[in-house]
Amino acid sequence: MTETQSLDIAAMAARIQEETVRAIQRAVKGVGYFTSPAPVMGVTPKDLVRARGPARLYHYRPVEAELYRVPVLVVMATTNRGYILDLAPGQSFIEFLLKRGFDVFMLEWEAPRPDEKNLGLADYALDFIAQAVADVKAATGEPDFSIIGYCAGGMLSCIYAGANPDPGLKNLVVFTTPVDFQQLELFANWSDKRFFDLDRMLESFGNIPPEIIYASFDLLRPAGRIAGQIRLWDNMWNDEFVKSYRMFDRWGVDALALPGGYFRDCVTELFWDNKLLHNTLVLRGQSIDLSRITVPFLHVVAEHDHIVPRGASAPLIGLVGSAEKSELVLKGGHVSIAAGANAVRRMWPAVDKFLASRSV
Amino acid sequence: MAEPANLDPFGLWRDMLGQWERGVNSVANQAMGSDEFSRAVHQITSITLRMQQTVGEVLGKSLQTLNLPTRTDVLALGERIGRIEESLARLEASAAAQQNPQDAAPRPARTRQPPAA
Repeated sequence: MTETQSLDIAAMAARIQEETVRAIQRAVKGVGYFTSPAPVMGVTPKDLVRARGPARLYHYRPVEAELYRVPVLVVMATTNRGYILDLAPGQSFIEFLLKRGFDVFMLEWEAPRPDEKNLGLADYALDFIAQAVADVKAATGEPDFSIIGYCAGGMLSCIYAGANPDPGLKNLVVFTTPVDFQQLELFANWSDKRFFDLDRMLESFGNIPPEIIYASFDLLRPAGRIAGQIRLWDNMWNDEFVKSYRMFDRWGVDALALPGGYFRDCVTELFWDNKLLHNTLVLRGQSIDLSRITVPFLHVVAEHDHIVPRGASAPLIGLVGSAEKSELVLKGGHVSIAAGANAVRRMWPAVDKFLASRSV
Repeated sequence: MAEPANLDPFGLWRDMLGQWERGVNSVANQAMGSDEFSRAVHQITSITLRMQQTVGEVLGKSLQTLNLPTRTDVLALGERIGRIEESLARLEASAAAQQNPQDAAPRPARTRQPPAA
């Protein structure tokens, strides 16, 4: 027997021993997994400033004795709850901003009530954000503010800023924000006007149920859930993996219902006519022109985003009129870009660096 | 000299899982991106929604006959409760705003400067 062959056999024996230990740990920890509650998320202390319709404005309690002058308003995606940006201590974008001395507010969403089915894109982008801005100004006494928008929250923030920019808007940061809706190929195909009876759907449902939102995200990667569960079992011995899996899994399954009117506007104005891309969107008689955004602008996108692929988000940087604008492309997917290890290492410090010097 | 083959069966199995996932996603995405898929899904959805609507109408008439509240009645009640909750929230906010400012905790100074580069 040669020396190499004996080394291989020794390595294989060690590998088998390692896998045997993991198999035992899987069995023991697997029982714990099914009997333990889901991790608690969104625990950073905060106060409710205003509840209006599906909109909730929260003010996170500052943790630093000295803050930057300009407060930050985070606008969440309409299909997700705010805790995706506040997963757990050490994995919370909100906690990071607070520790870096920012005064942080978050505009997040609840599921619309049945009688709120007629709320539309204009209510979200022009009304709720404007109200939140007024509340932030009142709470801080500062005329200026920055906005950070995540996914559809970024889209709403851009529409708000492209409608009639508030002179107090100092900086705009958006993550994974779609602007070319034809590039969301599967969503565009599923909402194809030749086949999609939008009126019947809205008449039947009123609001679009979260199950439809969840299923449509899941269908983008149909094998993802099965493969994910196999990987979960494979890594059941790894506490960090399991904790992370449970938190990110909640992102997928805890989708929010959307008001029928908002859904209708998104389908007809954005998917069918791609009006945001062509600067032809008009809401409440007000034209939305992204070139009106002239404040310092940062767009953070994910290289492997399967929900908002690069083709859908790439044109945004060219459409805004800011002299100071940049796009940061990071490895990662739609969720991990905001809350994964790469977010902690690269995205959060980049946002801090961008905002800090512009928030005094 | 050629690299020795990776003979770790556990590693190979994990690689296979990744390849299977990518393959299934790719094939499924191609299928779901076709006109035929879109047409079929919407036909099924349309039939389901029509059935749901018909059943809803029949049930609504039955409940009315039995003098029981329909879904519309419950939704109307929900709407009224929602308005009451909003009024309460406004009253709470107004009461909080009238609190003596001296009771409030001191606000942090807004004088922070970015760290020197």
